[in-house]
Amino acid sequence: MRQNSGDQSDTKEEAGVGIFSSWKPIYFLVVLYSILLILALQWLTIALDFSSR
Amino acid sequence: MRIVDWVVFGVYFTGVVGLALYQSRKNVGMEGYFLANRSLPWGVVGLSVMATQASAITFIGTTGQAFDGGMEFIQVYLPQPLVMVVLCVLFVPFFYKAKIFTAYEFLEKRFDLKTRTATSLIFLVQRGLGAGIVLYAPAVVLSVIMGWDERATILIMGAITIVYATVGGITAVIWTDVIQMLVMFLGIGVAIATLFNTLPASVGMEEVVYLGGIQNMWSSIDWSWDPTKDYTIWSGMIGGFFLALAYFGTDQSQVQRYLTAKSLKDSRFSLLFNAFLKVPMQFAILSIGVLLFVFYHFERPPLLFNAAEVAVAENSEFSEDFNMLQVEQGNIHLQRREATLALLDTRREGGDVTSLRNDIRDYGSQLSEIRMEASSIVENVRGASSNDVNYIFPSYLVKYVPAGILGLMIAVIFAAAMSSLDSELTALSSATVIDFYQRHIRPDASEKHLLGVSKLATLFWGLFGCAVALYAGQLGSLLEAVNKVGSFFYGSLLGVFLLAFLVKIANGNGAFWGLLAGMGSVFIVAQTTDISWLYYNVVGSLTVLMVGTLVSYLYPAVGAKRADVL
Repeated sequence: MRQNSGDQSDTKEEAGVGIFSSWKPIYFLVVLYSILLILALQWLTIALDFSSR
Repeated sequence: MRIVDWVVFGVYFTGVVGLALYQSRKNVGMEGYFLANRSLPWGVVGLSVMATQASAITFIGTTGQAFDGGMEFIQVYLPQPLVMVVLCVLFVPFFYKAKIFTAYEFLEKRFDLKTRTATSLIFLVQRGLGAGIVLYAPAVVLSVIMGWDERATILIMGAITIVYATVGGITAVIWTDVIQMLVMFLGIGVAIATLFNTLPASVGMEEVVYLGGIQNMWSSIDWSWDPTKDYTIWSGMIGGFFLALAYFGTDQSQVQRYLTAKSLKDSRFSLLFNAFLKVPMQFAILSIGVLLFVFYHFERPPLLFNAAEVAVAENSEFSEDFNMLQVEQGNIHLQRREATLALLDTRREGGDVTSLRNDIRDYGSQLSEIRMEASSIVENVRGASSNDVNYIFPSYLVKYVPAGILGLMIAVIFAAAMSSLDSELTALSSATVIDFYQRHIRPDASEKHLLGVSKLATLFWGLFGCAVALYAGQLGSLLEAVNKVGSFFYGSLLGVFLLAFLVKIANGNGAFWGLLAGMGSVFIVAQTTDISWLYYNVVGSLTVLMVGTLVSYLYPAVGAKRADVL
């Protein structure tokens, strides 16, 4: 019985997370955030290179 | 330190110990002592995960690294958000559903006893010695900078941590981590504000960014494919990815944190919280190093920041050479200071700054060369490598920050060290009791008996860490060797867990022989190639996956369990 109730709560957690329908959009946001971080740091690397300006 | 610094420092200590003792009342039974009855909310767990990773060396070492080499170290942290997603998808659900106390316990459920015992033993050796380094590194820096007795610093830091970790268990540890992480956040903000405040009045944010920029200090991304370079986008995204996955996914000091969350959802949120905050926090810490670099254009830096090394050189047969370097460094600093002020004036007036900019870069190169020559003198005298990087930020704190702020910053260094040490102690204790004592020695022991043994184990590992720290000065090269050997294990441990999650036919034989092959392959690669150490974890993990799969295929085990049916 205990095992069943644990499984049910896990299934419930997979079903919805706050305003999101599942975890997938949240993970997608994190991946997007990662890409944005790299782009932002690349921009900083170029924009703040004053070695010839 | 002035009285107000001691007051600030005292408030920190009283707060930490008071909170720990208050929280320790909730500590009932083994699940309470090691997993806080799986009851904590994600924000608390998330801050504890972050505090555990941030050691004192994070503050005093990485700021020094940025002072010397700019922001490029940030690349190692860039894959962490992606690592958190992989943990949420792959690791956390398995750990959470298996209702385990230690990460290695999962490996017996999935594979066999020998795999669990081998991986847990590797963790105990590595982390046990690591606990000593966590205490020793800040103590030695504080003893040189503040003039405190090194042994007394180790014992005070160690004793307070041992008391609250032993009495309060994981609940006390995690709640004190929260306070300690908040102190660290406050410290980072105050350090940046103080640095701006100690710059000349005419130098603001724009000038700081510009002066750093003419010497490429803000350069954060390096697209070089050279595998021997430590910090490139590829070593960061590939090597750093495997390193972070190994640390957060297989190291009991981190796994234990997210097992304390009240639900699977809270476990995942605690990691995603880190996914968003870790890189900005590390960026802020590294920025302190670049700010220091700019600051020392206006104030004369010491030839070497480590006063103990200066004393060694000054009292050696090379004292004359060292003194000449000091004079030369002073002259070049003055010329750079004048050129810097002239550059800022010319820039404000819209004039041509090309030659001044080139002069400043040349002076910077000359100052770096002089510092390297001074380090070489120290190395010649001592017969060991010079360590100046860890002293750059503390040396600034002691000399330039106002009353009260120094107390706060010393509290930050203590908080960083203690929040890592306390997590290591509870993790070491849990692996000792659950994976060895209960599993091999007293499987039928009562809950009360195990709880008593757990407290003794926490105390033992705390004392062991203190003993290692007290003798670390004499152990020198041995500790360095342990650190290097540690990087041989990490990737291989990750490989065993990946084998458990991803390869359905994998069995205990495959995991065990894969683990040995992984460690061997990293050893061979380290001895025969010059590739960056960040790639060792990739080599170890992939070798375990390949050898483990092959051995499992050739020697299938009867009754092997798949991870998804545990």
